[in-house]
Amino acid sequence: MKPINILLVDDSDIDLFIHQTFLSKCDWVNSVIPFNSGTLALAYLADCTLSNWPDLILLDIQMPIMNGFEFLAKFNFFEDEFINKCKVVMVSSSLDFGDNSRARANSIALDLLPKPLNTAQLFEIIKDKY
Amino acid sequence: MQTDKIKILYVDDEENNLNSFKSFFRKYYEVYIAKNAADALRIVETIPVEIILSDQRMPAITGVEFLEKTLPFCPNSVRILITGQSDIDVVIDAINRGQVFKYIQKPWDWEKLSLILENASQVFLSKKEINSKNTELEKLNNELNKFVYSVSHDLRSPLMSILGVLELSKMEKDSYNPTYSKKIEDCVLKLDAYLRNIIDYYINSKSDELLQDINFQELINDILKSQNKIDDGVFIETNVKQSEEFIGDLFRIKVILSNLISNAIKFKNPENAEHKIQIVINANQKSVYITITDNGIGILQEHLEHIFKMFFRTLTANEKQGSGIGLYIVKEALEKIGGTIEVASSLETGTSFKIFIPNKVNNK
Repeated sequence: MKPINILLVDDSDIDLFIHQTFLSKCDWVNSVIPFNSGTLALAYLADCTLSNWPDLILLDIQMPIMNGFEFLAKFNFFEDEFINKCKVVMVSSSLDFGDNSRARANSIALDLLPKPLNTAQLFEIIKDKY
Repeated sequence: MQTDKIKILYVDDEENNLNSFKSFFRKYYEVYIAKNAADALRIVETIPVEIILSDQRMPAITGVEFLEKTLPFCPNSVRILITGQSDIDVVIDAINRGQVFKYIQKPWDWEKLSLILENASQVFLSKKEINSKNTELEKLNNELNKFVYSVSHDLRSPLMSILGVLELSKMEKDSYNPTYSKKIEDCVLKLDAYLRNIIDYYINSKSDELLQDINFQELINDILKSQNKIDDGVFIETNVKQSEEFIGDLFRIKVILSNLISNAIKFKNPENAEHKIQIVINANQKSVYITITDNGIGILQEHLEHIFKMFFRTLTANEKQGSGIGLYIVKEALEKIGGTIEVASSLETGTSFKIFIPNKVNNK
């Protein structure tokens, strides 16, 4: 697997820092770009071409203004070619049953991982997707 | 009390009955009369009448049919049917279809009728009380649901962040990394602020008003001292005018001011060299007016109407985030002590909160 480019979307700056530091230590990761809101991430994605489009988005569920599900609904408007190139894995510290089942039922999100992120677990989920 | 009179509507096609009813009862009730069902329905649609009396025999429509038609407009009103002669079928029909409370036979006995109306008023008032209690319970239940949801995220998320940072420092085998310690400290402070908010919320929702003598200058000094960290470049100007004794709920007023002041400190605009906060307090024998103005990042117009809701948060430019409880507690606490709050804000100039709290100097 070629090292992948990852987008982080999380309103918690501490979690962005933790995930970025974790992932930058992994040899299967090429780049990590953090965003502390869905709005900023969508604005970045809108300017991307297929060549610099990310391979993976790590998406937090509970964020103010635009939560993870609302982000996915907007993300769904990109062209299929783009959406298919990028995998989405949701992350959450929530124990809320509703949120967790919604994440698992979502067609775009591959899976839901608990915080703090376990990079080995993440690798298991995505390793044969590229 | 004039304004608390029970509203009664009486519909009958015999005008003599209407007039004698009105002149007999107008002293005790707010009496509306209608000559036919159509007029009566128009009244029911616009005025929340509490007791409805209807004659059974009317030209276009029976009393039972009319009472049934009023159900959607005022489901909690008490309905009384008036029949010309004893007709058991009509009465059964009335009870089954129109939710009729009592029936009265014509010609009525004034004393009996008065008693029935008194009973009907009591029934209405207790229905009303049950309804308002139910609304209150629904609100509490709703808050509890939101609360559990929020606890499952907001209390847990700083803990999971701490775990993450510990995980990182384990990987790096570096026994002390100041960046990591600082991150952990931030998480702990966030968790602590959240727990304090929960406790304030709980105390506010449970306890009655506790009146004490308040010296606003001392109170403000006290609050400013207890703010965790005030960064450099923050200038707080206070202007307290208090010539009279002020009696109020010290705990709640302190919670209200602490929340607003800590918000004013927290949400500063990074583009301004000086973060200015102005606290103006004007206390007199009737009330106190408090204005807290900052030149911070301001609040979007479309968010202004939501800021007092439980767990509403905005994403802010300087990454500082509240628990979503602070302003909710402010509003709830003000409601308990009979105060009000207004907010004006713009992204250019900052935010200003104006509070009014009555002086309870005569209630002590």
